[in-house]
Amino acid sequence: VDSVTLRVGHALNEDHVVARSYRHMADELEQLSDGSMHLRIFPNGQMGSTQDMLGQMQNGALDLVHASASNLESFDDIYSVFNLPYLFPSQADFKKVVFGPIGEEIMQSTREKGFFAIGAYVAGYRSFYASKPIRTPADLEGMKIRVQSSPTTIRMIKLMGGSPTPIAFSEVYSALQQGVVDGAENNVPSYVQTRHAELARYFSEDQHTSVPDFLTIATSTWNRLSDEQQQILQKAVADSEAYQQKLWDKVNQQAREQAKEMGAQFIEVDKDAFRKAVQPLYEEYRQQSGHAELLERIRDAEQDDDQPQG
Amino acid sequence: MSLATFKKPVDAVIATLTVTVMVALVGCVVWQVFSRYVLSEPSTITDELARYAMIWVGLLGAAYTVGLQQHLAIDLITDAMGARDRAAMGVLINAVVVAFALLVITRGGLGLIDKSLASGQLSPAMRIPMGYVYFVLPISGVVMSYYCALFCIGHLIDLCRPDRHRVAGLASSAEHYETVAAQAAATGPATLDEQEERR
Amino acid sequence: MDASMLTMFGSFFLLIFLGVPVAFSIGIATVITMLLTFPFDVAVSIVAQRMATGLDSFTLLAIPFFILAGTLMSSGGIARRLIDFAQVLVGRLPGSLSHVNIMSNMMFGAISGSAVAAAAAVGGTLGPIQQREGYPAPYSTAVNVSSCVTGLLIPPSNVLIVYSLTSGGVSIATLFMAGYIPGILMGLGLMLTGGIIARRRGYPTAERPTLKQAVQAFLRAIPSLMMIVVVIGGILGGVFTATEASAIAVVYTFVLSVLIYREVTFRQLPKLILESVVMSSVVLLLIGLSVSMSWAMNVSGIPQAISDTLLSVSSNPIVILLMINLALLIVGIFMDMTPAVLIFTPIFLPIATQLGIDPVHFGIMMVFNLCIGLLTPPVGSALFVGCSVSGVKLQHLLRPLLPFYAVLVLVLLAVTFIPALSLGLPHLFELK
Ligand code: NA
Ligand code: NA
Repeated sequence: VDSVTLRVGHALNEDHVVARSYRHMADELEQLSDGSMHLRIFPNGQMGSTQDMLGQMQNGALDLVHASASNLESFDDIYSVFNLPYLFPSQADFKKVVFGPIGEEIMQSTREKGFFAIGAYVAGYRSFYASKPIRTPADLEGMKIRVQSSPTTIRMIKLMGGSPTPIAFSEVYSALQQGVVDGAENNVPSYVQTRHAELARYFSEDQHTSVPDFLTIATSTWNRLSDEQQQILQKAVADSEAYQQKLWDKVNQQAREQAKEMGAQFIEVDKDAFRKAVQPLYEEYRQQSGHAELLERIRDAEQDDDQPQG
Repeated sequence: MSLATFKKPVDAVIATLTVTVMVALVGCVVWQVFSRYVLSEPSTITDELARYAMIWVGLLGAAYTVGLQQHLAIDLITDAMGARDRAAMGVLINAVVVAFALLVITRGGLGLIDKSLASGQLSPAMRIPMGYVYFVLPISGVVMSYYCALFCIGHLIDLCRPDRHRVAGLASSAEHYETVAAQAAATGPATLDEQEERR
Repeated sequence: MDASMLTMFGSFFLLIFLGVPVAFSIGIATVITMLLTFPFDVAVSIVAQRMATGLDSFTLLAIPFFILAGTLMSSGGIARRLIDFAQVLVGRLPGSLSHVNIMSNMMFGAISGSAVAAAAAVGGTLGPIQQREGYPAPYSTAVNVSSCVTGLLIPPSNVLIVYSLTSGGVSIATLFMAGYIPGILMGLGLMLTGGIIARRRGYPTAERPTLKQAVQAFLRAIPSLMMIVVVIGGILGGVFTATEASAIAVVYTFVLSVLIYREVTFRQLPKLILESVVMSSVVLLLIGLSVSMSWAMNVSGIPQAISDTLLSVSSNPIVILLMINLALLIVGIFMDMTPAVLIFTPIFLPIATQLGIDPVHFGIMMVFNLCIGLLTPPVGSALFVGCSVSGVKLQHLLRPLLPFYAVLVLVLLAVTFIPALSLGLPHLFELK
């Protein structure tokens, strides 16, 4: 096997579950290829934002880039489906879709644009956290909720009754502390790791979205690899996916404990009320071409028990 | 005909443009605060709009500043030189900047626009093609090269005719600001107030 | 030293030595280094991308806004009112006008983000008065120049915003709070030095102001000083983010100097805005191209290599910090503050964090250190502005500056080895 070094960029900090999985993948790759394939990881957004890194990958300066479905939505509209709230009734359904044939099809969709996804990673559920419990959409009324600048998320929060407020990630801690925003939304490990749990004591588990992360690769890089190298890489990626899911469950559990130690409370939420509130989003979504059909297929896959579970 | 004749119209356009966008930028961020407190309906696009507008102001302003020769530089060597050597160095330095502005900022920028538009990449909030944001790169690169080419010519003339100093008058002077500002005032928005009203 | 490091730093220093503007030197050195690894089209496309998206930051927006506010302040009669107030506060101390100068620079610095704005506005007004009172011009210029940099530590501060960005998101509110005590200490150190010199040489002291004069000066300074409440109070009180505060600062100074003091006319506005665009774009182009340089450094593993070298010399934090300080003092002699922060933060900060030093503390130390560089030839913007305002020749200024350099280095050592000086105030406000 010829020697090859692949450059991977991600904007996660080095403790992040996926960042750790990439280090695991680097080790696997070395082993499986008898030391001929290497990953050089550029963490922490060293190379720029995810959007920038995707551009760099298209230029051939990076080989692989970690991106969330929200980032990829800018390149292909098909990824926007993952931003729909309450798309997956359970994490099992999430895995059926993301790691099944539909997921595979979505991951290949940007191939013409110079890259595609070769790995998918779970990211739990995103929920609201704030200085007061949010049990129903009525509780959200008038609350300023920090969001990423994504039209679907902004629309979702509006439909639920809140005021979406885009704020840079690095400013969220002080914004929460000083009351520029009343709350934010993310998964439990992020809630703990950012120490937002110190400020926004109530984690209300409405579990509105479950957005997968992806590992993307430049089509040119992929084509440059030999069949054998492709297989080795694919295997290392698959291993890192399995590793990440196990690690995620563990870290998620630990994070819940830590949050409680930091004084946070987990609040049970009437999810149906929120689900009902966001229905117009589905109607709007269906109006775009191809969307209704994709949704239909996802619903079918969720009901189908014979699908392989990732 | 003096070289300044070729420079002034470009100055006036860039000055007017950057001053206008700068005022709009202040308005944009003030609106963000206003919409959050007074309307309690936080604006969801001001953040992105302001960021992209700043890229434009920054890079167009940088081109304008090339025209004023006010980018930070160490003049140790050139200051110690005689007039002829200084003119020769002037040709060299400006040629180096032209090369960078054309090969990197302009060509790199065009390549970037090409790739961005081809992949259909959209901005996260406003959903405008990212390629449009990058258009400022080639514009800025071309303006920078234009200015530096003028300076190069000026220095070359100085080299041949040491009795006349064209370049000294071309770049920075208080008077220069005045004329440009007057042009900007005549063609562009005169005051913050007017800007706010128009919006 | 490997090939890419040699190429990058070699071409960079050659270019700035020849007189190519620093920003372009950074860009060209970056492209040359990248050509070692990447084809031409890839290299230029990446540099263009980093240059544009390096500016894609809402936080960064505070820089042009604070510059604009500073420009409006400098010509809007705000400096004069602060000077009158400083006169009442410290005019009776031995070395009277030196203290007035330092105090005015600190107050001006507390509402503006740039040192040169203070040097020009305060030095321009106070210089002639000092000369009339018998203070030698080189001495009073030295006082003005060395104290104008206090405003880079006392918030708001543009260079701390640049650091926040380069360090990967250290909160601006925290950095701002952390700058107060070191900035004030810097001012007090300079006042002490100035006081001793003035007493020894018998410089005159101002007359005691009448109560009425004192109250009047105070009342007239209040609207200007209220800026601190609006900007810093606004950020700390959670009314708005740092960038929003900077936009409010623009509106506030606009109202004050155009509508209330009427010292800036509407006709002058486009010119002043254009001036701020020029000043901002000098910084913004540097930032954009430095972001591309740091990309190339990361790909070539340069920060890691430097860090390994430094840590192989010693793993004692005190030794490493002294070495970093020495390196930065040398850097500061030849380089302006913004490019120095942009280029050396990615190299030195990881070493510092590895040694357990708080990034906030490190940033304050770095900025303090580079403040001294602004006062040293051949490259020192504060020095040049101070000279051009007072008409004193550079060679006459260096001797009177020596005692001030000494005290600044002493305070720098204190800031370096007593983290509480930087971190105490942020902790008090429970900032992360
Ligand atoms: Na300041
Ligand atoms: Na210096």
